[in-house]
Amino acid sequence: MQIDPALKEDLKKYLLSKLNNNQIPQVTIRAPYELSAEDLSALKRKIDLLNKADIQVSVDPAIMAGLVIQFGSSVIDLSINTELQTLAHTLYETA
Amino acid sequence: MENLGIDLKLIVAQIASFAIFYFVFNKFISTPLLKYLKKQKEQDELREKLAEELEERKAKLEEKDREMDRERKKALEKAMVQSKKDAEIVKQEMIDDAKKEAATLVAKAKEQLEEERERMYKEMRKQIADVSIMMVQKALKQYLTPDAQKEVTKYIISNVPETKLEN
Repeated sequence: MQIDPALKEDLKKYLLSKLNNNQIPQVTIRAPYELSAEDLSALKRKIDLLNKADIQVSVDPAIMAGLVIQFGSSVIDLSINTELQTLAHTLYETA
Repeated sequence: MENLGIDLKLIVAQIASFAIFYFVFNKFISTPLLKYLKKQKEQDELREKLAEELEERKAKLEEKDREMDRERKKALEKAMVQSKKDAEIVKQEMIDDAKKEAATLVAKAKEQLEEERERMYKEMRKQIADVSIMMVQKALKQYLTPDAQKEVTKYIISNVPETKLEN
């Protein structure tokens, strides 16, 4: 069976992280601009895990506003893009 | 007797010869001939009888033949009538089947048209939704200056509900 090499790598990291319980969780935050410390602390207040995680912030111009938090295979999508997609779906269903 | 010219010996001899002739004729000619003629007559009668019988049989056979001919004609007519009826039935069945098939085809065509119409309608709605979203995205891109982006992001962050994620 052919498995995508990137997927294989991610799976390996995930399993290794599971094996090593002492490993610090990796969280990636994508935002349209570089988040300030104030923003990060506000987030940490709302999302408990961010306090003990290794946060990597990346700037993604595709995100018009809001942010996307990725932790392992979990994703919290707080971007406007997703809201627009939801709106499109609603329009499609109800029009 | 001799004066009359009658020779008695001659007469006797003639009578005797006649008798002998008669005897011989009777024994060797007449009787076989008569037998032969009788036989011929019997054979002729037999032939006539046979000819009559043959004629009778021929007449009977001809009668039988005519009878069979009549029956054949009757059977043929009956078969023709039956086959006409059957053909009529088959024709009617074929017409009915054709009508049913036509009705099915019409119904199917209507169904397909309806499906097509529904599909086009959905496609149109999707396109309307896509165009609307595209317009909103374009508008937002123009509207969202870096400051506006920050404001919106801060607003979103402030409204994030408290979430517990497990490691």
